[in-house]
Amino acid sequence: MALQEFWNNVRIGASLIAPQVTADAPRLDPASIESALRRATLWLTPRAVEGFNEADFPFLPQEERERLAKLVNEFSEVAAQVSPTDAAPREVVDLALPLFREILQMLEFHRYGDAEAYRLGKQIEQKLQPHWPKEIAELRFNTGLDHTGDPALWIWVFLTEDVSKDDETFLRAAQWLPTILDPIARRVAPDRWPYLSFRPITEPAEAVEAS
Amino acid sequence: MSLHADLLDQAEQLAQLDPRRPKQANLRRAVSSAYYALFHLLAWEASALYAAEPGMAARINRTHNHGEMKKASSMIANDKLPKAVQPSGGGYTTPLDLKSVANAFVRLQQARHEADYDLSRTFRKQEALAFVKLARQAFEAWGRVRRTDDARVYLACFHLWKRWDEDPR
Repeated sequence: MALQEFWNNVRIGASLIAPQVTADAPRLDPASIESALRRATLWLTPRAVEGFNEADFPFLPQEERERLAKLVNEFSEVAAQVSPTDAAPREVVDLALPLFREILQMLEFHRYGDAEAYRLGKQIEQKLQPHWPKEIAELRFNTGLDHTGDPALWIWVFLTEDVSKDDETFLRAAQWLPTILDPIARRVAPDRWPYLSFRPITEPAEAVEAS
Repeated sequence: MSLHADLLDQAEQLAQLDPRRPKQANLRRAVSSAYYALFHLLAWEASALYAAEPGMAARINRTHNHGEMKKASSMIANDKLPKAVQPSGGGYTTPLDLKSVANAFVRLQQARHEADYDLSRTFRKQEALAFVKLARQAFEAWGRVRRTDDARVYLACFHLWKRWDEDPR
């Protein structure tokens, strides 16, 4: 489970910005990731990417897989320069930060709840890509056991603002999208039940009252 | 009106309450009611397989188990029948309407569990409405398929899946 190990290590390094709840996680832009990483440099250690093996990512397109491998290797080399007992020099932080930030952007912790969700979600998105429905703004994935202990794959389908403007259009999309998403999910993850939920892409704070 | 139909209407009303600032309590109860609407529809139909007299049917109704209904539904939704009733030579394709019902049952049961117990996530109004709509579509699909053998076998599987799936002696 090297993929799992790598995933966990990066996630620990990025603990300040790795969301706990995938469905409600805010989308992170490069600036907010950088700002969070600059506040504390606990991530600046080779351990943050330990367990990486390019062969564990056969599900990624070749270009994406090679880019991730390059980033991890370069980051490891830079991080190895940092003494475990002293503060990281500014110039090393400046070198390492864009590398680690891009690794985080590639792993998208706000969209994939765990390593298995990343593996399955990426494959589902690739199969959907040639005919990507215009109603879908974003997909998010999580894996685990459902309430009866059966293996499950949760897929949150975020619909575009256009589709979410009125309930009727939203519900029409929520009615037909499972006809393409459900079979793809079952093919990619035949041992997991696909639980689909539909949400508008607008930020939760706009529509939800905590009560 | 029947209990299941009332529950479905109630689910819709709860999801539509507070259109601007929906309360989590109402959205969660909407999702939960949508599940129970479908649960009671199917449990009522399954009980009617055995008894027409209301008292007897109600007593049979109480014997339904959510977990066993989910197990049967997830198998039927995946084109699987218990071994004892599989066609000789194997291979079974669940009729589309029945598959919709079984699929909706599994999805709604999990959603109901999250709505009732998972406080770490929020529900959105349109998300809740989509679950209510899913239940309504399942009602409609059930209306089209309920008089078929496939539908009756599905209902019987709520009680008999385990027994029918044991290796034939």
